[in-house]
Amino acid sequence: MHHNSPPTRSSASIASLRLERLNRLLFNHYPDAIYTINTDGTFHTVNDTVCQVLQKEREELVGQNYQLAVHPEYWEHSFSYFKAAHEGLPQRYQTVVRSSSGESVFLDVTNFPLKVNGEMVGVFGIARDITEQKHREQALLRTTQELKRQNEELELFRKIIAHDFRSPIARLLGLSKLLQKDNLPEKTQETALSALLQSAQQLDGMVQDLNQMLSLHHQGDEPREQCDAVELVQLAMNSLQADISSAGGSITLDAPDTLQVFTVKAFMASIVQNLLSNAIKYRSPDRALQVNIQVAQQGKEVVFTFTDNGKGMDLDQVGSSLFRMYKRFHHEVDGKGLGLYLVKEQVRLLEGRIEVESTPEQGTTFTVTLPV
Amino acid sequence: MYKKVYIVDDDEVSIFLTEAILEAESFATEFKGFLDPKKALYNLLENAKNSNTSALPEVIFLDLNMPFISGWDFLEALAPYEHALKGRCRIYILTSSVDEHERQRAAASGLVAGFLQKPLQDGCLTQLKRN
Repeated sequence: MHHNSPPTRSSASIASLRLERLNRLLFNHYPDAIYTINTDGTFHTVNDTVCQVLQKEREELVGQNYQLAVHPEYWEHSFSYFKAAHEGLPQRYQTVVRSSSGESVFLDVTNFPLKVNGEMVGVFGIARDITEQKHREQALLRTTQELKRQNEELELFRKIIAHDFRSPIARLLGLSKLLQKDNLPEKTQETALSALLQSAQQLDGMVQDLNQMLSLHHQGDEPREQCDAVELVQLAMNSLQADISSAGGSITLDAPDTLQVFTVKAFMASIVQNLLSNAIKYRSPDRALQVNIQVAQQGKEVVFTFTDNGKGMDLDQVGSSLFRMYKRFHHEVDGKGLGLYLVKEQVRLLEGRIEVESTPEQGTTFTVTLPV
Repeated sequence: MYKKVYIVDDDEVSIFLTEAILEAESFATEFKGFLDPKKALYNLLENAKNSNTSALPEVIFLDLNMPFISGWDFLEALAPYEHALKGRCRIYILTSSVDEHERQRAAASGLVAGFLQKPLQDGCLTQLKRN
């Protein structure tokens, strides 16, 4: 089968090429990487494309174990396929190799067992460079995720418009209609007028909140900068000092002299400010407010801990809606209900985590962990 | 004119407003506003359990979006006493929400006599009075 007899008529035609030479030409110049691997895992032959992909000379590769070219994270994965091919089963899989300059190359690999007279002698492989395709897939995935997130946000806005914005508007409408009535008791008229103003102010506040929230994601692209986490906490403490002392409260800070963090300064400042003002807002009327703030570095992360002795919450009851927009959990306190939502979004954009522990009538601890 | 009307709403201004509109329309002789739905619920459950129907309000205006106990939770808690309340106590959802899902959900509930949008309209009150 291998040896066709050479044609006799012409010496300068394709037909004059011996199949063996044709095969070798095809092997060497084929745009996909083609190679054979001995049963001990060393390269037996490699074509030009293998050398180009791995950026190595043929002499460097032949005799070397194929695993050395594979990205370490894919060693086990590619070995299992190699083993299966070695046991006589053709394999098709994707893997990642590293070129000598350290670049990752995604490959779509086909492995066949190579047998001579029924005996396994090695593995034959064809690998296509799918790096570009992979990058496109990853970019597509990122876009899909971003679109999904934006759609969820749109749904959230729809709910805010339907539920939350309608509420002050309905009040404005009702109050103005009420004020048009004759013979309204004077007391009612006065209350209605001040409620009218209050509702208008609330609506205004909500418009500003929504605007702030929408601009949050554009700010996410803002460059990060080096800033001092401890200084930020002290600034927030100073700006809220008046509220704290008027509430008869005290704040302690456990922190190193300085702690440098590479972050979006505005976000970090807003997170600290919101959690601290929440502690003041939800203080217990039965005892003097005490807040302890800890700032500490743990490995490659900075951990902020805000502990208060305030009203606390039953987290089983509050559940996942704690960080939702316009959700309030205390009747007596006039919260806009946006603070914790903003905190959570900012923590997410900074690729950090936020955790909460709370006991009703004892207090609440918020722990924010951000990359340094 | 009705005797007793409950208004369950976590918003003080809303209670004031509903009450003022109802008063101006001479809707009832006694209004009771509940900022905390839990208190209204205790009151209703107590009277329903003891079959003290004369103490029950004839009309309840119930807000939906409230912290801890939403209007839906409220209705769910009352569901076991539907027979005691039916015919005696009409519950109207009174919400500022324009969410169509909520209107449908209310229509599916046996306890709900109607779904009203805030602010209460005079025309709609006349209809409630006739009912």
